[in-house]
Amino acid sequence: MRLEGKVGIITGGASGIGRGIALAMAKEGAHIAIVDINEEKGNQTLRDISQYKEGMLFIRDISKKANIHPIINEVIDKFGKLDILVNNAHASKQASFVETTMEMMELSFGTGFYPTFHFMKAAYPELKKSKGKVINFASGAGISGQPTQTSYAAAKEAIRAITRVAANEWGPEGINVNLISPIALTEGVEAWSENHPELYEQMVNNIPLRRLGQPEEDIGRTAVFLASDDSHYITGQTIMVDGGSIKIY
Amino acid sequence: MGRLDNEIAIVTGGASGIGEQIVDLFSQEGATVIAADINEAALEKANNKDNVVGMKLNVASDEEWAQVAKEIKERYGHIDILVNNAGISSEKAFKDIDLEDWQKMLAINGFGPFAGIKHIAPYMSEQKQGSIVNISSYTAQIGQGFNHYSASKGAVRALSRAAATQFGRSGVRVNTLFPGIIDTPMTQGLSESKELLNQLIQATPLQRLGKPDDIAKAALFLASDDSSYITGAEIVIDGGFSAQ
Repeated sequence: MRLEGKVGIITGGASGIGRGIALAMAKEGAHIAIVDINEEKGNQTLRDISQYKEGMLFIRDISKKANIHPIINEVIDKFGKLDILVNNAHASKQASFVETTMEMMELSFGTGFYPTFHFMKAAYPELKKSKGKVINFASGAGISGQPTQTSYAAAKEAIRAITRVAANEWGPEGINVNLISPIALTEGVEAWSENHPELYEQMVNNIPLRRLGQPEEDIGRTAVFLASDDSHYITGQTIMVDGGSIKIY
Repeated sequence: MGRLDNEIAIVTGGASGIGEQIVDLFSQEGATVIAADINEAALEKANNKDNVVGMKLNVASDEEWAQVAKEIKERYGHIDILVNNAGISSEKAFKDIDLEDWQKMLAINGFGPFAGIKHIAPYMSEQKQGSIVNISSYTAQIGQGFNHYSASKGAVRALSRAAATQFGRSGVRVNTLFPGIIDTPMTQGLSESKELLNQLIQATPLQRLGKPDDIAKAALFLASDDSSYITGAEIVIDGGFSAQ
C-alpha cells in the first residue's frame, strides 16, 4: 500500500477524474475526503471508496471562500492530519475569444483558480506539519491555446503559475507541489462523444496512443505517484498524462 | 506482488550509480533485468544478483545493440522495458573541447539511446506494448553548461519526443527523465568542492541533492502500467531547481 494511512482532500471528487483519483488513492490505503456539489454522485463515490478505507463527503460550494476553511478543519478533526490536497474541481463554458464574457471568466476563475488558491492557503499549515503533497490540474487547453477555451485556458495557466511559486516557497518545508495535465474519458466526454462521433474520432486520431485516458487507471495512478514517497524529489512540475498529445516547454 | 512482475527490462549503464539503483528496484518489483554495461568487472557484480543478468554492451555500437536485442528476444520471447541510462560526463572547459571530444560524447550519450530505440522499439511494436525511459539531464533545459554534455542531453530530449510520436501508434511509450544533480560516482567531483555544493543546495527549493533512488522510483513509475497513458512526457527530478 503506497498511501497507507495518508489523508487526502479531492475537490470535484464525486465524478470524472476526481472520482478516479479518489478510487486509486483509497485502494492504496488513503482516507479521502471528497468535496463536490453533486450529492447523488458524491454519495456513490463515498460508498465506493469506503470499501477500501473510511472516507468523508462534503457537499459544499467551494466557489464561496468561506466554505473552504471549515472543510480542512473537519478533516483534521476526523483524521488528525492532512497529507494530500488535490485541486481538481473546475467549471467553465466554451466560447470564441470575442464572445467570451466577464461572467464566463468569473465562472472559470471562481470555480477553478480561486478555490485552488484558497485551498492551498488554508491547507498550508497542515501540509507543513505532514510534509504533504499538493496536486493541481493544468490543461492542454491552456498549454496549447485551444480555440474556444479562453476562460478555461486562462484559469488553468494561472493555476500553473501559482503552483510553481508555491513549489519554490514551500520546497524548504518539504511540501511538493505539482500539476497533472490530463486527457480523460470522463462521463462528460463520453456523452459528448456520442453526440459528436466524427469529432471524437478525429480527436482520438490526433493522440499518439490513440485512446483517451481512464480516470482511475491513468490519471488516478499518476496522482498516486505524485502523492507517494516515490516522487519526493519532484516539485514544480507539470506531468502530461495525455497519450503523447502535447510536448511542453 | 511486484509492479513489474514477469517483465523483461534492459537497463544500460546498469552496473553503477543511477543505473544500478534502477536495476535493483526493477528486480525487487519482479522484473528480470538485463544490466547492460561496458564495464566487465561491474557486470560480474550484476550477475551475482537475483533476477539480474549482466550483458556486455558498448551503447555506441550498432552491431552490439543488434546482437544484444536479438539475444534477449530469443531468450525471453519479449522485451517490455528499456532504460537508456548509460552515459559519460566531462569537466572540460568549453575552450578545451574539440571535435574528438564532441564525437565521443555524442556517440555514447546521443547515438547510444538512439541505437537502443532503433533496435528494441521494433520488437516492442510487434508486441504492441513497451515502455522506453530515456535519461537526459536538467542541463538540457536550464541554460547551464556550454559544452558537449548538455548538447548530448539535448539530443536525448529531441529524439525521445520524436520516438514517442513515431512509436505511439503501436503502443510503445517513450518518456524522459531530467535529473538535477544527483549524488553518484559521476558527480563525486562536486562533493569535493563543499562551497559550490552548499550553494547548489541553497538554490534548490527542496534543499538537498537528488539521490539515485529518486530517479529509480520515477523510472519505475514510467516503466510500469501506472503511467500507461503517458508518452512523450518529461519529468524533471531536481528538487524544483529549474522550476524557479
